[in-house]
Amino acid sequence: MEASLHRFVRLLRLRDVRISVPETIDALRCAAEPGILADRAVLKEALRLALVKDHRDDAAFDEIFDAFFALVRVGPAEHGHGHGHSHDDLSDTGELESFTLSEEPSETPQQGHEHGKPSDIRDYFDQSDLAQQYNLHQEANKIDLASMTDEIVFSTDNTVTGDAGYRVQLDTDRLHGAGVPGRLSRETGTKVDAELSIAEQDALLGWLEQAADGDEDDAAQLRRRLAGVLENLPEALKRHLEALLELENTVVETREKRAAQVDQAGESERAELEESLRRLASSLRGALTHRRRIASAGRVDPGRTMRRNMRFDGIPFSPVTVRRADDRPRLVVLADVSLSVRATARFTLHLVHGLQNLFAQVRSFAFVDDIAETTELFAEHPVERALGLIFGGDVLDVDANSNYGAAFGEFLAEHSSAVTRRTTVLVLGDGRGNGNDPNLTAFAEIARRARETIWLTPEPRYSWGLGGCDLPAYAEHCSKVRVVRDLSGLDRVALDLVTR
Amino acid sequence: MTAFDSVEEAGKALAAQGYLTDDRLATMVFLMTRLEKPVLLEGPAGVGKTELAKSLAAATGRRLLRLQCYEGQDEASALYEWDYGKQLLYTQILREKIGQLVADAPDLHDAVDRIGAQESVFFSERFLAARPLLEAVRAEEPVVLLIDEIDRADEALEAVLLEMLGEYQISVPEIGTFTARNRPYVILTSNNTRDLAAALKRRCLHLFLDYPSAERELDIVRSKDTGLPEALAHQLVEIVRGLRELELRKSPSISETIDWARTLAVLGVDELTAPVLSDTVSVVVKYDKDVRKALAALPRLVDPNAEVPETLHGHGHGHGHTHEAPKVSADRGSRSFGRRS
Repeated sequence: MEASLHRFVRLLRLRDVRISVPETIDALRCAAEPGILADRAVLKEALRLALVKDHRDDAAFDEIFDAFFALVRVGPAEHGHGHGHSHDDLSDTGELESFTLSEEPSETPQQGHEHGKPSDIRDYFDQSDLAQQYNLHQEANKIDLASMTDEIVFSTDNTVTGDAGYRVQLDTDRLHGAGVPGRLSRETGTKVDAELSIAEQDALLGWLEQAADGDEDDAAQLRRRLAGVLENLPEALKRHLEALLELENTVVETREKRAAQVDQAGESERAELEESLRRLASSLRGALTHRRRIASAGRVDPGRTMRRNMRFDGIPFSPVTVRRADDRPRLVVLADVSLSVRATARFTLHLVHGLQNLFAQVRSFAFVDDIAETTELFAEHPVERALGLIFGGDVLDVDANSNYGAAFGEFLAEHSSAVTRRTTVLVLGDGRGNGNDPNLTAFAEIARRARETIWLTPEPRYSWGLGGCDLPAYAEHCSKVRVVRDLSGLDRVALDLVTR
Repeated sequence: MTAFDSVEEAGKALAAQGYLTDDRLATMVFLMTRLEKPVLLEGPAGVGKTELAKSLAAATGRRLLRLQCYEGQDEASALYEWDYGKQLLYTQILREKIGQLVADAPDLHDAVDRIGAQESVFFSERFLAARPLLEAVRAEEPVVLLIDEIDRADEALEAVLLEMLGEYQISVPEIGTFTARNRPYVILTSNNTRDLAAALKRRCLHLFLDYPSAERELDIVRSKDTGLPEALAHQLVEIVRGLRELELRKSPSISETIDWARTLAVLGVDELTAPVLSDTVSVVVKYDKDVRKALAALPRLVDPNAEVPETLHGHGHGHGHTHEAPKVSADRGSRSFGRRS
């Protein structure tokens, strides 16, 4: 039983459920109690009690428990020992050794050499993953690993067939639903002075798809651009296949792992974020003030006690107790969610959500050229949904150009009561106001009202001076400006702030 | 009364106290008494977390000690406090005795030593004002310790609890370490307003208590003897479950379902109609925005086939005799709109 449970815990850990050794021991003790092993449902609840400490891990636990203890139903005598058989459907019967991986692509497509049971390679890939990463153009199925096939052959005959993978790049002023900038385009091209509505965008994309039989010159040009990608493709595929072969033995766990990555990527990251935030907040909280206040409970203050008891001839009948006041700040978070910081905005908002979850007295606002309070939104919805609502444009127009000046001005006009001398203002953004009036007076006013103003920017310091960035001007009014673009950065900043 | 012998027995013992359990809860109570581990109950307000502790205390015949957490709480109100007043008083009263003690001391150094030797008198259990945690550890009889709404307290308090939860002991620097003679059953509850530290969770068995299944809720309503006829109770439970599916700021809890059942029983209702429910909906729904949402949904919940009217007002006209009720609710809605603008 110990071995089975240990294995079970290992599988849970692969799904990023945090389980410590004492918890495993608890689980063993739970299982050892009389009557627990007699009933599968009871065992499940007992293990859940000991192992699952977070509501969001329940689903993973259910799934793994059901898979792991699947055979218990067959014979009540072999509790948990059946796991070895329960994964039979995963074991690979097709002979994988016969995959030939050649450095040189063959001249012509050849038949596969496998004997034995033909195995479908499709099963070894995550379909959606494939479609994104290895299939450059889904419509042209020349190299489509996701389709039903027994063999993959890379032939020099059809390196680039048709327009598969040709890329057209278009820069516009305004685009909705474009996603992360880096994914949209890796290089800047010539900018077209146009604003695209969604309908226009669709029309344009439709037109681009039709233009399959383009001019030879165009194709050549595009092919040159594409060459790098295609050359690397066999390499990448080979690496992927080799890795898969290597993993064949532990196919169970691989599968678990891959599923986990798709389902809840960043579970461990969230834990890390939580840690960093706790550390950060303890620094924001500010140490105990030196002011001592008379309080009903606390330490006896000798001086005051003597003074008060002078009338009793110095006999301290009524002691005076004091306590050091803990001046706990309120936090106001202003987060820029415009396109220019879209790559980091997701992280930023996760951060805001985390802050709000962990601490009371946090108010959050999101802005582009307009500002909207998101406190309730984050309080009511889980983070994914809240992010969806914000980026979907339900809260404010996220496609506009960010205008820090206007946002600060409006914040001051509408929500100035949120900022008091106990408030710490946390601004998250790159300070790129697109040449709009930075409205320094408004920001200075906010900073003056607040106890402390901290600005976290995703941009490295050297690029602040480049093109339309008002951060240096704002920085004068901030008590701290730090560069944070990911978790490790946040961790560093948190440490830095705590130690000083 | 010590540990339970089986899961069923645990369930029955709680049921005898009027607390109906499901498999999960019964397993938890059984394991908790067998392993003597603290239990952390998380879940929305009003699903019976606190009630469980009370019932467990009653079922095991133990005394219930309760520590209610609140924001800004310090460890003095949770662990122990030195009774300074008493110490000072004793010092004054015993002044002469102290005087005698040092009367024949040759020099000041010696006098200080002598008083130092007696120090333990003033830092003894006599002057210790025990708070719930210390009381639970020092209790002669085994107790049930309820640490309620731990998520309201600051993180600092969580850390203070760790020693207690892990080893059932409390260290008082001046005296030493108190270890529990009888391990208390410790139940922590949290409304999940913030995530608790991993260290705390690790030391506890953990259960997420959610709204109960329809049958269990009906059983609970029945067991509370609300006076509402069986058929109506059944219907009411379904309606409450429907309300929970709306996206309300605060979903109705079990205790509120019971309150609602009692309210309706007092009113002598013999048929659940939308107007009657609309009049009393404030028993289960406490926020203005939620009330509006609930009112809009109620006719549909009472009778899924009923045509959902355009406005509540219109609905009132449909049933002439119920004109009064929806009007009130409509007014309520418009008033709150007015306040907003």
